Amino acid sequence: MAGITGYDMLLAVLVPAVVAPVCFVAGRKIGRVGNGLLATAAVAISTLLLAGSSGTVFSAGRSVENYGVWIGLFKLDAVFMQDFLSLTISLLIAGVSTLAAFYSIAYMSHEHNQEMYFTALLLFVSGMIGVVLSANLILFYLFWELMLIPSYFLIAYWGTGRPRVVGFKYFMFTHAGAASLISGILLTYSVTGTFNLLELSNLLNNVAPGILKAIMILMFIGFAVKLAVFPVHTWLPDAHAEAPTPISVLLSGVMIKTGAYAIVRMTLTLFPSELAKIAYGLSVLAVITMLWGGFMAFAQTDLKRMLAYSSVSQVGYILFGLTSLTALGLAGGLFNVITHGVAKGLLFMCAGAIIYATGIRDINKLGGLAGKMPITAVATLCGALSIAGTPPFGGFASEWMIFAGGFAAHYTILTSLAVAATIVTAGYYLRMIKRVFFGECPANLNGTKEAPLSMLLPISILTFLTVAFGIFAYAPLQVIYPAAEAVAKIFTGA
Amino acid sequence: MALTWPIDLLVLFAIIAPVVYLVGVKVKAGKLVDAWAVAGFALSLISLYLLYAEVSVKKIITQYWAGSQLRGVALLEIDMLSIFMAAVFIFIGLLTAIYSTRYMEHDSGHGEYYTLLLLMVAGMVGVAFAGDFFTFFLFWELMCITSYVLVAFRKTRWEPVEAGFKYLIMSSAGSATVLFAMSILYGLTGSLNFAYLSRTLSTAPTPWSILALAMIILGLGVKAAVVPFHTWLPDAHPAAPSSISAMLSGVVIKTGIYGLIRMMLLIFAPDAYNWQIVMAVFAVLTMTVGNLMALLQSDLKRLLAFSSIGQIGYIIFGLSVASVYGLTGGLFHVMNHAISKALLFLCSGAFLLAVESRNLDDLAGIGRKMKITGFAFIVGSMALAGVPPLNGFQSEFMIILSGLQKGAADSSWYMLSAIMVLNILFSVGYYLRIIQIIVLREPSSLASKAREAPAPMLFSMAILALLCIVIGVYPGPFVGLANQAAQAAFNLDAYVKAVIG
Repeated sequence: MAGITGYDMLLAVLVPAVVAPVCFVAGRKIGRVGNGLLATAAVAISTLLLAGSSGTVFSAGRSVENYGVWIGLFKLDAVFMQDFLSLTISLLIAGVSTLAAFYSIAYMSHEHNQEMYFTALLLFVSGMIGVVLSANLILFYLFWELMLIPSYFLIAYWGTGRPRVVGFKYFMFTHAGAASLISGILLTYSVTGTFNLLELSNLLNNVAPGILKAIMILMFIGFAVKLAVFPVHTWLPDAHAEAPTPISVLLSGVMIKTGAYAIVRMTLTLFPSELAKIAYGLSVLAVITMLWGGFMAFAQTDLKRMLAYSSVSQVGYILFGLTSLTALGLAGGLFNVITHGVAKGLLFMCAGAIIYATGIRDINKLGGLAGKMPITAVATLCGALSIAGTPPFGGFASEWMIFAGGFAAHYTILTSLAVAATIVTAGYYLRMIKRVFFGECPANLNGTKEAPLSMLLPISILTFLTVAFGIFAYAPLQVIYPAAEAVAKIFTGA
Repeated sequence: MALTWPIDLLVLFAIIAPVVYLVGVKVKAGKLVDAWAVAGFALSLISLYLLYAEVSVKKIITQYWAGSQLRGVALLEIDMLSIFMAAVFIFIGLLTAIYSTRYMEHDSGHGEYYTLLLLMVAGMVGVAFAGDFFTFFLFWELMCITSYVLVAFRKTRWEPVEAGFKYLIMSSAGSATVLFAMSILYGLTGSLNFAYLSRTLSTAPTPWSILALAMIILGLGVKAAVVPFHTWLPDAHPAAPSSISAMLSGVVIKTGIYGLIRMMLLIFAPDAYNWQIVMAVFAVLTMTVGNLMALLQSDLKRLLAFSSIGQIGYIIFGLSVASVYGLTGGLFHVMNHAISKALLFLCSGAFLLAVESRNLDDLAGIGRKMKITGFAFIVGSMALAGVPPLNGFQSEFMIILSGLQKGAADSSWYMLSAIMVLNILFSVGYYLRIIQIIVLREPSSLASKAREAPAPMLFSMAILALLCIVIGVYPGPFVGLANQAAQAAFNLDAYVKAVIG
């Protein structure tokens, strides 16, 4: 067996899930800090385990762990798989989650029931990792919903504003998407007789195009809701803005990216002939998402709500890259998953630091914080510039690849619009930075201090990554490009 | 081993229960009769397990319980389907009895209560074991009559009495219809034996046998609460003591389902009678009405009762597909719904005991005060909402899957399956609503005084909640049981040959 233990993937999913009840039971005894450290350690172990399987992925292309029969009646096996695509996303998920768990220790200090919080957080992370590693559609769906339930409670219980209404909306939207997804999955089984992802692509070739199209659309709706593509995005600004900040980091930074992962893994890989017909339509949707998110972000005065709309806009870039169906565009889209995950995680953490320090989240009521919170200010600037696609930050590297892919696919007008959308992005971010960090400091904020060290540490790490991904883009691309190339080959071959 | 033991033990313990109660009063051991009833259920469950071991070898066992001179009637015929249903009935009965030891503390008449409970379960097990209409009807009425009394058990208040009366009238009308269907079948064939009826009627429909089928669907449909024969259920289930609601919603309505499965596959074979699409329409109607009505309720137990109607729709849909997969899903859902709905009613009983109100506004935030019960309540609701990785999801996906598989031959089944998916979505809406009210809201003035439920009640709830999770995560062996039961239900040949030879 390869990797560190031979059961790397199973353990990566199980360790957070098993530590979760421990957190709950031991909760009161070890207190908030103990809980937080335990949770951080659990997710960090997952991260290491996932990184451990990278050796096999590089040498053999993929690594598969088969744990035998799960439900015999449907010949359903518990299979986990790690290849270039899942390696990329799973490392992002586990890495950002580790930082978010650590960040939570200080941020959640004013809240009640912290042991429940960390329990839910760990289950949430376990679900996200499981989604990316599952090589079996039912297992995939199981984890897909496992991310939903704890995140719902995290929003509805510890959220701000009207958490229960927001949580309800989040749950219903995502669950409606999931219902569409499960219909697609079950329809797949009824025509092919298997749930195994590794066997499906050959079997689906013989299926009638009408059914194939139905399956693709049903599944895509499920993924699009999670990814928050334009007409079904409305849950995102509410949920991401009102969730407790570390959870916003996870929702905006990594959870919605499981939608992007699923689109590459299933929609693009399993239904190439049907997808090629509608790829242009999806690109149009992507550009609408980009612009809509961008303009809506301009209109916001709430710090976190603005960041949430910015996520919608960035989802548009990712989808645009993916639907260009060229190796460069796909690589750009996947790379943007990473750079946006890091940068948006960073920005939400900074927003959390500001809220923690001042208790205010209205952009118009803030000002002049650059002198009081210098580290947060620099970090915010780095994150914002990265998302706006400014060199030398990570966002630049991913966005030019997306645009290059768009031009290569001859989507000239759409790509021009997409480039124009970056101006909007730069506009609202610079406006936010000017309002929050410069100008006159309101009198009531004179005593503001920098956030505690345990919050600044994750912020610094993410800031470093944002810069590093821009300058040393070749390093992550060694993993991402083979993944993109493999998918692009399906289309050039077909 | 005598195969009537599971029933015998229940009846025996039921008859002696009043005596035990009196002895308990005499020697000042107030809980004696409670322990007696729990022991009765436990022994019955053990004997059922022994019977299971025997059936899994021999596949079908028959016995003429009134002697062999009454050929054709008074027959018990037990296959895996019977065992499966009986196991669900007795298991939920056992947990309910454990729960009742504390829940019914403040009521009088424990002797009667446990006698009725034991007899009701005995009736249900008898229905599952019956091999002819005479036996079936005998046990059917035993179950019905005891359940009327149990619904109206708290007779000092008006609501249970009224609900019990409505239940009595409607259910008796249903029973009478079944009786009429029986007499038509007897007139047609000269026998009440399932095996003979199957041999004569299953491949040759006549207008009279179709009429009998319609009457059986109606008669058993009343018990199973198939829309439009469901109106007694939302009144009767909430009015009963919560432990009895758990029995009624969890298992008693399943006897109607069992009767439908047995008769419609055995006597009115789907290939000849083509009832699939009719049943599917009933199923879709049932689930839609149940779920939509549940959305509108402000009374917790009434909401749960309507949700039971919705879930019955799913089970009937699994049956209406008339394939082994579909029936496996349906039977698996019988088990899962029994577990999770019983759990929810037991939880709501614990809430009611603490605040004495069923109104959702009064119950707001009570899950924060009663953490374990609150957690069990979340698990049960999520399970019924079909959220993975809990048990309800596993069976619901199997049912939808079987519907979609049928869609390849007849595309209207795609439509019907899609309606079921939409229904599950609806149901998530109200389950989420009750979770939000009970667990997430700030406690109401009544709820803030609530204390956690006593240990025996928690025990039953914890076992059920654990099962929800275990079956959801590792469904293999449980699906295996349901699959054996479904295969037995479709194995007409073996069932007929075991009697006729």
